[in-house]
Amino acid sequence: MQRLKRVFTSRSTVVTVLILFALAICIPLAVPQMSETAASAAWQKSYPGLAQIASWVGLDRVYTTWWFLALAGTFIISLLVSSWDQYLFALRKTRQAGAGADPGVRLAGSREVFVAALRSRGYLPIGGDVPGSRLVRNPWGYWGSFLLHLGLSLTVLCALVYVGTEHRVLLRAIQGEEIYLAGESFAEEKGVLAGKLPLPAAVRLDSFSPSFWDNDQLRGLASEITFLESPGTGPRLAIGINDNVRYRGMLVYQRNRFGTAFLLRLVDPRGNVSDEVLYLQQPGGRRLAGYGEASVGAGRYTLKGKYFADTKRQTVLPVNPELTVRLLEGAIVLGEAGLKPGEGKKVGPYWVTLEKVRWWGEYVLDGGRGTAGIFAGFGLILFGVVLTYFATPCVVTLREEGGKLHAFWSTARFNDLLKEERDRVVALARKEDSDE
Amino acid sequence: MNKSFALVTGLHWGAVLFYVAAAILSSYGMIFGKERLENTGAKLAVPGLLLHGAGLLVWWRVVGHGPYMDHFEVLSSNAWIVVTGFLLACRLSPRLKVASIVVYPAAFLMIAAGLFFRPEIKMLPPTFRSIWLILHILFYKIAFASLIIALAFSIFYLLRARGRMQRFTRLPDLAGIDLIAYRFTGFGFAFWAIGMLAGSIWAYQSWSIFWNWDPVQTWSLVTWVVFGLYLHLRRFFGWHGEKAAWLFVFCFALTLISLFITPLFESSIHAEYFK
Repeated sequence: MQRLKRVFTSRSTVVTVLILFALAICIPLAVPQMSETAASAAWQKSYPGLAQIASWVGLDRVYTTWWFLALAGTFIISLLVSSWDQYLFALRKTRQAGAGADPGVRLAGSREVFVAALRSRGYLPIGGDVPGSRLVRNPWGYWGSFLLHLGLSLTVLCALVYVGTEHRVLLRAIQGEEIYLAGESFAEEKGVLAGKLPLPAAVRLDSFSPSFWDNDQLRGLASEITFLESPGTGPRLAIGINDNVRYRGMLVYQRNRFGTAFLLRLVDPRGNVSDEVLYLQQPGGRRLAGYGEASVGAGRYTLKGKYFADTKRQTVLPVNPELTVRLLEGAIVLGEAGLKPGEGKKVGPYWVTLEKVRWWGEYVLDGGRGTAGIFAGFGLILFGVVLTYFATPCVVTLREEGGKLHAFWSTARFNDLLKEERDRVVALARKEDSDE
Repeated sequence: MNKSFALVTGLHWGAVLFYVAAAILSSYGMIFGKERLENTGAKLAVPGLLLHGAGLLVWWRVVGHGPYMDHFEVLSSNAWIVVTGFLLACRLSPRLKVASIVVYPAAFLMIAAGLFFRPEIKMLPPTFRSIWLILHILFYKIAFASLIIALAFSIFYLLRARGRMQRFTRLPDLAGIDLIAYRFTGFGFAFWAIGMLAGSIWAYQSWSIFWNWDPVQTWSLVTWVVFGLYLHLRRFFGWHGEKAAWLFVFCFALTLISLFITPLFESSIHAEYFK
C-alpha cells in the first residue's frame, strides 16, 4: 500500500501526469472532435487516412476514451493522496516549523512580558519542545496548499460525478404552441449514469420578449413558459438569459438562440397537406437576413428560407417580415417565392401558404448532479490561495543559549515582504518597542 | 459622440506619453546610476496612470459597460491593471522597480495596439451581464499583470547570466532575481486558476455547462497546466536559473496565445470580446 502511495505521489508521476494531461487537452485543438459534426466531417473528408488513425486511437473523441479516463483517474488518485500528504505536512508544520537560519536575538526582558507582547500581535502558542516556547502568527497559513489540493480533488471528483450523471434536455418552443415532450420533439444529452428527468408532459411558450439596442444587437431576452403537467394546467415561470429558474429540481435556462418561426402549410399535387415549420435565426441587423431550412417530402426536398425582419428595413423586430422560400431537390432549384402572412404561392410542385409567424426560443433543462460539490471545491481552492498569499505564518521560537533566553524568528515565505515584522519582533525582544 | 472618442483617444495618448517618459527616465537612471532620474521616472507613471484611468472611465460611460468587449478596451484595461499592479508591488518591495523596463513599454505598446484597432462601441450581450464575468476578467487581468513582472525577471536572469545588465546595480543577485520570478509566477498561477473557476461559474450560470472545451477555455487550461508543471519542476526537481527562465518564457508565450491570439482566430464565445 505504501509503495502504491509512493507511486501516486512521486514527483515523476505528478510531472508525467501533468505533461500527458496537457498533451491530451491539446489534441482537440488539432483534431476536430466528433461532437463538432461539421468540422469533423470536413476534416475526415480532407484527411481520410489520418482520420482513420485518429478514430482508431480515439483522437477524435478524446474526452470519452478509456485512456483519457484512465489519465483523469490517475490524476484524481494522485491529487487525493497528495491532499492527504499535504494534510500531514500542514499539521507537522503547524506544530513544528520554525527556527531557520535566523541568528536570533537575546531577550532583554522577561519571557512572560515578551510572550504577552507577541500575543497582542496575534502570535499563538502552538507546539514547541517546551510549552510556550513556540508562538505562531497566522498558523492557518500552513494549510493553504492542503486546501488547494483538497479543493482540486473535490472539484475534479464532483466534475466526474456531474459528467456521469449529467442530463440535459434541449427543447425549442414556438410562441403560443404546445410542444409535447415525446419522441423527437426534444434533444437530450446524457451521461452514462443519468437517470430519468421529471419532465412535464408539455411546454407552452406564452410570451417571448427580446429587446434590442439601437444598433440592433441583443439587449435582453425574457420569456414566460408554462410547464403543463396535466392537460391545460401547470406552473408558469418567467425565465431570461442569466435568469434561470428551478423546476422539479432541474435548472431551466433560456438560451440566446432564437428567431422567427414561419408556420407553413404545404399541399402537394395529390392534395396531401402537411404542416412544416421553418425556424429562421434572428438576423444580426435590420438590413441583414436570417436563414434556415427544413426537409420536406420525406426528405426528398429541402425547403430553404431567408427573411428580413421588416420589409422597410426599419426595425429588427419581425413586425412586417419578408420571407423568401426556395425549394430544392438536391442542387436543383424547383421554385422560389416571396410570402407574406396569409399568402399562398406555388413553389415547385407544392402550394405553400404562410399560416403564422411566431417567435421561437430554445431552453435547456439541466438535471445533473454534483454541482454543489464543484462549487464547494472552488471555494476551497479560493480559500487555499487566500491563505497561501495573504496569511503567511511567522514563527517565534524561544530557546536557551549560553544560559540566556533567545528568540528566533522565521517565516514560511516572502521573507522580503515581512522584513518589517521581523524588525518589530526583534525590537520587542530588545524592549525597544513601546508596545510593551 | 465624436467628442467623446476624441477625449478618450487624447487621454490614452497622454498616458502613453507619460509611460514612455517614465520608461526612458527609469531606464536611463538605472543604467547610469542617476537616482534622481530614476525616481522622476517612477513618479511620472502616476499621472500616466491617472490619465489612463480617466480615459477608461470616460469610455465606460460612453459604452455603458466595463472595458472587456472590444480589442481596444481589453488591451487598455490590461495595460492599466499591469501598471497598477506593478506600482503596488513596488510599494511593498522597492527592488521590483527595475521591472519598469519591461512593464512600462508593455503598457504603452498595449495601449498603442488598442488604439490602432480603433475603439468601437460594442453593446453588452445579455449573457455578459454577470458578476462572475467581471470577476473572471478581473482575476485574469491580475494574473497577467503578475506574469508580466515574472517575465521581466526571467528576462533579467537570462541577460544577467550572460554578463549583460551589469550597470543595473539595483538588480538583486541572480538567486534573488530567480526567486522573484518564481514568486510572481506562483501568484499569477493562483489568480489564473481563480479566473478559470469564476469563468466556469459564469458559463454554468449563462449556458448550463461549466466547461465545453471551447478553444479559449482549452488553451487557458493548457496554459494553467503548463504553469503548474513549471511550479512543480521548480519545487520538487530543483529547476531554477536558466532552465526555469526559458520554461517561463515558453509558458508566457502560451499565455499570449490564450489571451490574445486564440480569440482572434477561433470561433468561441470569448471571441465576442476580441473580434
